Amino acid sequence: MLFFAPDIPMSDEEFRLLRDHVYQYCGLHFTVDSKYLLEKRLGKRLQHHGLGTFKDYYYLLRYNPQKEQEMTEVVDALTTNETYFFREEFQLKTFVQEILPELRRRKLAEGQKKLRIWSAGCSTGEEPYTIAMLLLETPGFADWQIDIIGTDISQRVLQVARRGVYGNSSFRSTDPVFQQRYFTEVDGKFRIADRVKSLVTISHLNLFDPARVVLLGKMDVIFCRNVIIYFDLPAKKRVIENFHERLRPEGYLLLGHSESLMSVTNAFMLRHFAHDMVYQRPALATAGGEIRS
Amino acid sequence: MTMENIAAINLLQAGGEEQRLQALRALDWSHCDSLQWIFLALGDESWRLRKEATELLLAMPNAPLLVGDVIELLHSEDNAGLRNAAVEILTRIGSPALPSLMEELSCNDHDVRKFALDILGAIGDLSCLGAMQKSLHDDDANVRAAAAENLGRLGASESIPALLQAMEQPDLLLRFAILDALARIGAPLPLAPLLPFYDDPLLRNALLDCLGQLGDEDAIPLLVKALREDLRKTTEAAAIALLRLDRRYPGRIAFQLQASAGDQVMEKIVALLDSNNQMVRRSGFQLLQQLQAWQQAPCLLPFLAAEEDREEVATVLVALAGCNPEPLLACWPHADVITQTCLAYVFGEAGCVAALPLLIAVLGRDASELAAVAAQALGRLEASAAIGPLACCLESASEELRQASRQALVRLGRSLPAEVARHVRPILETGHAAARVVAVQIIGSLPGGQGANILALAIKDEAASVRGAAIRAFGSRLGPDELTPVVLALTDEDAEVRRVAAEVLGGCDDEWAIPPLTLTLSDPDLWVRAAAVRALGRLPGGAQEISAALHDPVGLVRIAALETLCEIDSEAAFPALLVALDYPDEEVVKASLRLLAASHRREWFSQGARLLNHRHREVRMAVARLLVEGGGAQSAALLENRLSVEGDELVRGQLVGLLTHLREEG
Repeated sequence: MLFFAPDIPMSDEEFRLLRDHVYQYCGLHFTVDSKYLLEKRLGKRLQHHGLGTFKDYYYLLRYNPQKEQEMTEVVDALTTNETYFFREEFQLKTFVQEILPELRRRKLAEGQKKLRIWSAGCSTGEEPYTIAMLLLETPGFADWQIDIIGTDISQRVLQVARRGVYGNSSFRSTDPVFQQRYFTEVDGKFRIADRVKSLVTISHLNLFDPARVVLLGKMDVIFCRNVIIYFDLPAKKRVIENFHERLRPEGYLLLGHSESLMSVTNAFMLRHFAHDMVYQRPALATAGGEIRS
Repeated sequence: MTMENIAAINLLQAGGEEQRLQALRALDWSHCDSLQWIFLALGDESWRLRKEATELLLAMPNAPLLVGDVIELLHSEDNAGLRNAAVEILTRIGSPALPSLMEELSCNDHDVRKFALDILGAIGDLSCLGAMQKSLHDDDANVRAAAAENLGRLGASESIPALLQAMEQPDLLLRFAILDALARIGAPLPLAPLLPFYDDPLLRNALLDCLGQLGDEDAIPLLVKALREDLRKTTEAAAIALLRLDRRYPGRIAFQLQASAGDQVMEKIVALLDSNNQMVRRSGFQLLQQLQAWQQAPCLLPFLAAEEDREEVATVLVALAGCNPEPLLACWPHADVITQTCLAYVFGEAGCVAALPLLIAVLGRDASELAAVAAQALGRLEASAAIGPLACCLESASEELRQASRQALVRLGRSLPAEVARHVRPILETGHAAARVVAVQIIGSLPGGQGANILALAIKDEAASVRGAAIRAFGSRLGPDELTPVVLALTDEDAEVRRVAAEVLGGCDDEWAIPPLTLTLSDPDLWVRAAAVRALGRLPGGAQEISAALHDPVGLVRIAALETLCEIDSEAAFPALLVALDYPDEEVVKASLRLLAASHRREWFSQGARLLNHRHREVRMAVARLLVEGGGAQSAALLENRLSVEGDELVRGQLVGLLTHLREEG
């Protein structure tokens, strides 16, 4: 029995093959400096399959009948999913104090009480549940149909998101009032309330898969924070194009504080709010034949 | 006479059995003097020769003209084999033999008269009724009994008056035969002429049996009276007869039994339960039910241990518990597990609410069969007190108990949906995945959209099995509001969840489901793609999207597309089926062939020769079979051509078989 994983070296050729394959699959971009990271994290998969070289593992990813399943393991191994509730509070303040009131006015003027929000790359679910709690706290939405859809490519994090049970580290910037109001303590952890959970749907999605992205339907707001930093420019363009396609006219795209669309696209307007700047899709007529949302 | 015949006759007279048989077969029957030798063979000591001669005689075109000669053989007192052969020949000649046979009913030989009656009975022609009835008064007792017996065989109710009249003869054998014949005729019978025979202890049981077979309600008092008799056999016969009458006159037995039966009858009936005869025991069980003898219910419990009686006894116990369950409830604490299991079933079927605490108490027992039956019983009691304990059982480690509890809660949910939803909901928060699946199934079965909010949460469950169950539950109540979560489930990471979602969307009858299902045709999982194809086929307007699946890289999906297109419109699918014959996947080709054959169109036959050369032997075999089924003899040349070059033994064997079949047909 092997108690320690043998150090199997990854050649430059193997690194290039695996890097490109992962990139083609989900847009995750690794520079040459990241070779050590791939070697270390994918080495466990080699051990799992009893393979002797990274080349063999590459062939497994190309030709194995369960290659799709294995790719999700690769993504799980290579991505970092550290997140917490009420992250980037200033942006959430903009969302609650300025974006939501504007959306409410606009929707009511259209005779609609439906709001659809997408948390792209939701990781373990803290972001979509934060949005749900904020909506429950915001007056005027009680009788609305709210759909918050959290998606991620990693199946492991989706399991956590669906379970809705969190440890203390997820609450590092959560007001205790929220924690008390929307969570129940179970065996030292905190379980999210059903009224929050009921607003959120967790889905598995590769942002690079446009056909599957269409299945989500049209959105009023897209949160995609600290995700596109992992992509190179062509990959960013593909993902942002999908977001543009999914947003309703005048819908909002909220990126992470260190992310911008500069040199990626000029299809969005940059709206200046009191606490933050947010991208908005300009008001244009949309084509028909959409999925109901 | 030819030389061959002379030799054969010599052998018939002097040879061994085999030689005689060969000689019989070698005789040239075109010579009229050969007939005497067949009659000789009919009396041969060997049954093989007699049988051969019988068949040879019956095969002769003039066999009916030989009736007189054959009847003569019946008079051969010293050769039983010859008589038996004659009986068989006359029976098989049938109607042409009737006049001569009826004449024989007045011959001097009583054995021949009996033979004639037996042959007439076997022929079954009613024109001999009169002659046969006359024989009821023959001088010979055996002939009289044979007349009665064969009138029974003929089954004509016109004979009943003659049979009843013949009962007046002081002939025990005849009376037995008449009672048996009357039972065989099976027509309603006037009771009065038979009543006097009840006093004859030798005839009594036969009479009771006869009354059971064809008596009417008027017979019931006599049968109840017979139940009180000291003779055990009489009591048994009466009980069986009453059971038979009960099938014809449901409810009447119970009425008269209850009106006239006393403790003495009850004792007799209970005593019947000790019989080794299952029919007698069964009569006893049924009579206790008719009497609504709930006090006697504990007497029946020992019979639950016997496999052959268990079902019958349980049914009777249900009826008795329905009258008053107290005696059975009192037995519960001392009963073994098997008996308690049966009692739990009985209490449930009887709607015995008084058993509620007992049934709830055993839900936690280790004996899972008892707990499962108790759970099912609780489901039938319509009592809200059962819902909580049953909901707890959904988390049991026993699959049997979980499923029984599910069934019970589904049943209770029909009348108490809000309470069931209230108790089952916590399972979705605390239970293990298998329990949550069952909880979702229960919620999904509740009427009036009850629990829709719970299902909406379950669709977000961490376990794929629960999400799948929730989507399936949505399927039966899929409205516009539920469409969005089901569409989103098409992006679930679990293929089974996506497959269920696609399946459910196919039943939504909403064209809005078409775009997501069309997108699902590119799902990474082939089963999901196949489900999407079939779902599109069920939606109005979805068919045109299916053609994309005809180019799917996986044969299974292509087959699903072809089958679905054929289900929608087999004529429109025909071109796609022809194209599919050229696909590299032999399973797709075989499926296309099957669908083409089912379409009954023959255009594809022109490709038959080419497909008979298909690289895959399964395809060659399927084509050959379908060509023969659809094209018949015209396909013979194609098959022969292929056979001349076919190298695979299995295919060769089939081709030879099909060609042989074609030759035999042609």
